Amino acid sequence: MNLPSTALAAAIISLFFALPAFGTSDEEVRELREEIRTIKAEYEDRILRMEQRLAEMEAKKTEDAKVSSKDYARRPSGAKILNNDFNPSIGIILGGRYASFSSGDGSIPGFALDHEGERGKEGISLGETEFNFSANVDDKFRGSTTVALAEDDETEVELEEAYFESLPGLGLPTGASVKAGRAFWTLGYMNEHHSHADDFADRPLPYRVFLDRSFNDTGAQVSYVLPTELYSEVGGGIFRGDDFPFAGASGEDINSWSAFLRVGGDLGANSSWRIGGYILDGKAEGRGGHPHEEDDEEHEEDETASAEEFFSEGAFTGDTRLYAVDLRYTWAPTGNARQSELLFLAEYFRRSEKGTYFLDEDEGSRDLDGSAHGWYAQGVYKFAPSLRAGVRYSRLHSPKDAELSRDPYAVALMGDWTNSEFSRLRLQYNRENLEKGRGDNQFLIQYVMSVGAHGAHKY
Amino acid sequence: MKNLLVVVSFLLPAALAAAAPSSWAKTRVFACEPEWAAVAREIGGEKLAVFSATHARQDPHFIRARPSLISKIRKADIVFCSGASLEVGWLPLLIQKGARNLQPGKTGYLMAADLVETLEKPEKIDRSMGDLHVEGNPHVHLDPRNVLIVAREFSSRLESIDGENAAEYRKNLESFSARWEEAVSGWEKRAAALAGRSVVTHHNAWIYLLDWLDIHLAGTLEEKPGIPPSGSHLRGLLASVRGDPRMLAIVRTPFSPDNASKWLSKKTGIPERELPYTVGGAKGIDDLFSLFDRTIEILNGVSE
Repeated sequence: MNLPSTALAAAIISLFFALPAFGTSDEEVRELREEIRTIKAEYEDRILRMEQRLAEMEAKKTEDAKVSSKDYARRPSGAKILNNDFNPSIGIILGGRYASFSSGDGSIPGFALDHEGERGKEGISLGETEFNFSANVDDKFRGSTTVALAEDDETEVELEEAYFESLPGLGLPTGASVKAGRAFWTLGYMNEHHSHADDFADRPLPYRVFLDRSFNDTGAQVSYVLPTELYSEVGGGIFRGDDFPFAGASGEDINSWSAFLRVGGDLGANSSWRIGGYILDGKAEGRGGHPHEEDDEEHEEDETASAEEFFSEGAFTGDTRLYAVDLRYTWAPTGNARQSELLFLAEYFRRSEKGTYFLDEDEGSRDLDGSAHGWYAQGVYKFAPSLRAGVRYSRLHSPKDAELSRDPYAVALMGDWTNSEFSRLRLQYNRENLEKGRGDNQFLIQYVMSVGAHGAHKY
Repeated sequence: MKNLLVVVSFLLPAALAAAAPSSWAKTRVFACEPEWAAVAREIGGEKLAVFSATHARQDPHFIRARPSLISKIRKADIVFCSGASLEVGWLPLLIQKGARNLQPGKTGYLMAADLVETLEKPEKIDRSMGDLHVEGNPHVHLDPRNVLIVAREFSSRLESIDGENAAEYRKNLESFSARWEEAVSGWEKRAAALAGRSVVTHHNAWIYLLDWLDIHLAGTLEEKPGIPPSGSHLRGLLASVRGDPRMLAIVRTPFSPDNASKWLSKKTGIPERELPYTVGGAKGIDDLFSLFDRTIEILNGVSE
């Protein structure tokens, strides 16, 4: 309907209602009022009766509901029938922190940090808000997805995980499983875990530089638990090759693969261990790279860029392979891990990388050997059911070609309070020495709250 | 080369599986807690290889899916646990690595709480109430009548999993059930004087025992399940139990800390005791019979 015709219709309607009002007597008005009053009374009466009936019906309904909920409560457990049982279990993780850094510079010389590997924002900030949905798809598959809302300058949505995995009902040989989609793949210890489950407020240096915090490319992975008395598991995967340390996959070929082997067991009744070896191999096409800003350009006019600048700021193209070894050891002194427990963890990463680094139009590309390695070790001790303290040391060995006189290292001290399995508050102090003459004292206060589904107690 | 590796990584599992022996000499039972391992030993005797994932000094809720448990469940023929979400943090992770017959709904998946009437099933649930379980209180083994119900089901599952030894399982069940019924009536007689008395427990782990023996639960030291006792809650509890002539004891499991119960005991004069809670919970408690014998002995001891 266009505007003139609407206006016309409105005019006609108002005219129609207005017309009888002209030239009517007082008596007619009275009659009309009388009629309205009668109708009004009649309707009010009917509405009242209907409301009464409604109230009666509702009362009866709650009574019925009470009877059935009683019956329901008497059913043996596990036999409940509710349609929303088929809804996926939902977990929400709320995270936030306060950070203070004494140094304005958080870069790690000799390594290109991607977005996730950076030290994060200073001051009060929201961490990631994670939403996890998971459920058995049917008797053969299980599906899970985790979406994270990360607060940066604006809220970014990151699809952290979206995968399905086989259930034993699929009929694969016992111990074998397949997982496909996007997931935190099996690589070292921490990569498989969501960062909210970490024992420290930030990831150690090797994770930041070698994996940009975590490797969750799109792909598929198989694993097989061997039928041995000692736990042993082998597996491997293929990936698109788009997530750090890879980049720019054309999709024409499978660019990246991984393989792993893990063994583990118990030492007596109260301690257990696991070690693993991992390889992740692939190609990168223009990974990272921060184009030079204006003030840098002036400085470049009189001297050529150092190799370190190529590593820290250039875009890498070439082959990259990561070897990782991890060791996990847990010990409950009294036997009861609820009461007190020592958690030890160490990981070593070795990156062998060869290719070219492109800095900018003026400097062009340079062939450099980016092979580097790094490790960290951490211990966390729970001295009361809700109190833990931990210490972590991490160290990087910069690429030889970067010609740096000192390697980056960092120390972290942590204390946290866990009210229940679902809430944790943490205080952390970091001392990062990432470059000669630059020490960074960092204070972090972090909270992690999980709402909804009960988390898994991974080893 | 790379493609070859990819192919190998997919084929290796299958090849290894084919090489693995398909049957084991003994039927393997993966019990989550020592009480169910004890039931399995009663019914299976020599025919079973029984493994318990936890021991009596561990809180069965706070267990990690550690490597040794994965290798054990990988080869298990039946998984035998409390259920009612007690093992929710770790059993689902393990089960995924287990055989097809170990999955929920199959004969190899036996959860005790699914078989008995659970107590304290909340009508409304919220995490502010602590780590409550929708299915009700999971510590069902402390009512000996439940033990027998569960043992019967376990035996029938075993008979279908390991048909060869079915006759022996049935025979063992009959013998166990006769001895158990006799023992239960003995315990009921011995504990008759405890009826109507009150206890305070650390964690709400004995509700089934209390329900069976008609003992009143005056309160728990943990204000809410799974959350350590707080000072304000303890002071409130102190005010409510002090001078109550019905108070029998303050009890805790071997895996609960003793500071809160010692504090309350000192303030009120009510004796505090560690009850074995499960098989292995104290020296000499090596089967289900001695578990209940000792528990009643301790409670009778404080009542005199």
